[in-house]
Amino acid sequence: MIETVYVEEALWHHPRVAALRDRLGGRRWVRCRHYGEVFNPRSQDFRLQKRRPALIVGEKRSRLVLEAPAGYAIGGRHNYYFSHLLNCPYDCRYCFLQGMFRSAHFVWFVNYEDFRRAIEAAYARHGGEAVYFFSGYDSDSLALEPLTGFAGFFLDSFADMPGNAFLELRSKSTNIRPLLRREPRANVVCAFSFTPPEVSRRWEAGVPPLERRLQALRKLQRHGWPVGLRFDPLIHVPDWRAQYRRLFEVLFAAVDPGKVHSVSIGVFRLPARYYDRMTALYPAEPLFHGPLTATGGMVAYQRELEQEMVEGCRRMLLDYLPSEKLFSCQF
Amino acid sequence: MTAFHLYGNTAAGTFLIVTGVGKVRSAAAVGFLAARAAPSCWINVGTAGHPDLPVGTVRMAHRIVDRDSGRAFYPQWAIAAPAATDDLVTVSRPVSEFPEAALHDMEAAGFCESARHFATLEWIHAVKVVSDNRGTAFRRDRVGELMAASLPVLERLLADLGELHESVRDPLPFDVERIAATAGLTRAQIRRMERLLRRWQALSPDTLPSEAELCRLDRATLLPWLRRRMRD
Repeated sequence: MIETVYVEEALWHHPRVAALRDRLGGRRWVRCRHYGEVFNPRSQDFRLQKRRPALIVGEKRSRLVLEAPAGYAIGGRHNYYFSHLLNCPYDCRYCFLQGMFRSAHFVWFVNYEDFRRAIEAAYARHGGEAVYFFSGYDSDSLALEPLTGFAGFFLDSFADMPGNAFLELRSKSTNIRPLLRREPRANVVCAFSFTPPEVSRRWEAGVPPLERRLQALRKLQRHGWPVGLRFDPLIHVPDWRAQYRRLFEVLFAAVDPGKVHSVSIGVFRLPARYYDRMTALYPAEPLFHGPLTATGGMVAYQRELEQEMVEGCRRMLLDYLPSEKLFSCQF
Repeated sequence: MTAFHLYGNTAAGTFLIVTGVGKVRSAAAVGFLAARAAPSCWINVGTAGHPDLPVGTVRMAHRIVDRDSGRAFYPQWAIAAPAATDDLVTVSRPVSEFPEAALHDMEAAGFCESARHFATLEWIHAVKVVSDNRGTAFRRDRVGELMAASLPVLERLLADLGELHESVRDPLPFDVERIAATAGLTRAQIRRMERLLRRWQALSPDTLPSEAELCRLDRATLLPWLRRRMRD
């Protein structure tokens, strides 16, 4: 899948890069001084790059762990996110990354040890209170796991941390091997994102089918890992209520609701400048011409519709779960 | 008499401009051609030195470094490269010693610096034929013969980029320029009209108005009519 790998010169002999060279072999290997030389130039076309995304290997030098946006939480007061990877191998048409980044290439930050130190420092700032660390905000936590070994490293890192330092891995992938190889930890939640199958087939290119993700979810639950369910963003289609009802039926028939760690609902909302870039990339995409409205520099579904969808899904989910497990991410 | 020799196949939309030697001339040639033909993709073709590669080897560039400024360009691969790729260093004076294991030319960096103002990096490439190396000096009289070696790669590249271009076009089923000219729309009004028509096409393609219908409207009525019809 990956034909071209760009590597920061200073990282050429990094052990993770050496392992990557062994694994990928005779691809096109190109040295660069800084990952931003390849990733950041303005004159790039996200849509075209999505056809043959390259891998850019770099080092994250600052802002390794960031405060999560207000409302991005699953019950904790202190919430942070970190990104070992920018962009994702899936091609979800609603994804805000298309508007946020100029390039569709994957940027992989290999300095995991620095991330771990930054996570430990962020935890230490809260005097022993529970702190949540979210991965998968700028990417998919597990989709490139065979190349990055990310989950393996951070599962081991969080095994050494206090039990109230929580890690959320968020994914649409079925790469769960590193979790199945380890003993489950109560402070790591593997959260899967879902949209109804009809929506997924139409707008989530490359994402494994629902049935395969349910299998992965079942395996994790049987193994003892806390799992989370994420309906973020909710996507509007004319029969959204019927589609989400069917999705919830299928999901909760497959998993044990009593052992679900948390469920969150998120709305489709993104900065207007991202929306403008996305519509420029896909001008004929009906998703971008739906019942949307722009207010205060943000584009979202019309307020009443948004509330109707959130409340409608929340009520349906309450048939399966107590309200303490249900969170609404609106930021 | 023009500043550059320019050859064109207007029907195919393909142009060849002879830039001459050096990055300033190559940058100027890109601007010259952009003003006349507005091509969608740009390919810098020429000779280059390399310390080791045999004379006649054809390579594309995956990194182009301007030796003077240190600035680097990374042509992006939305298609499979039709030839092996290599680093390319653009220098200001001819070199016979090659300190780096890379192609050395005198144009590509200037070409890219200018072309990136007219296209994204997926549409900008460089194809180079090795003309000299540590053992063989550059010979001007061999350039024609060497360039002929690049033609299969060039043809394949043009075909693949052309196919790519076709595959990402989302044309509206109208002659937008004709409607705009008939109604006397300004540039801003044309953009608004295109946005409205795109929206209409995305949501209800079967009910799109005909071009003839649109051409009956003038500057004052066209946009309000579109908005009204879309509300209905």
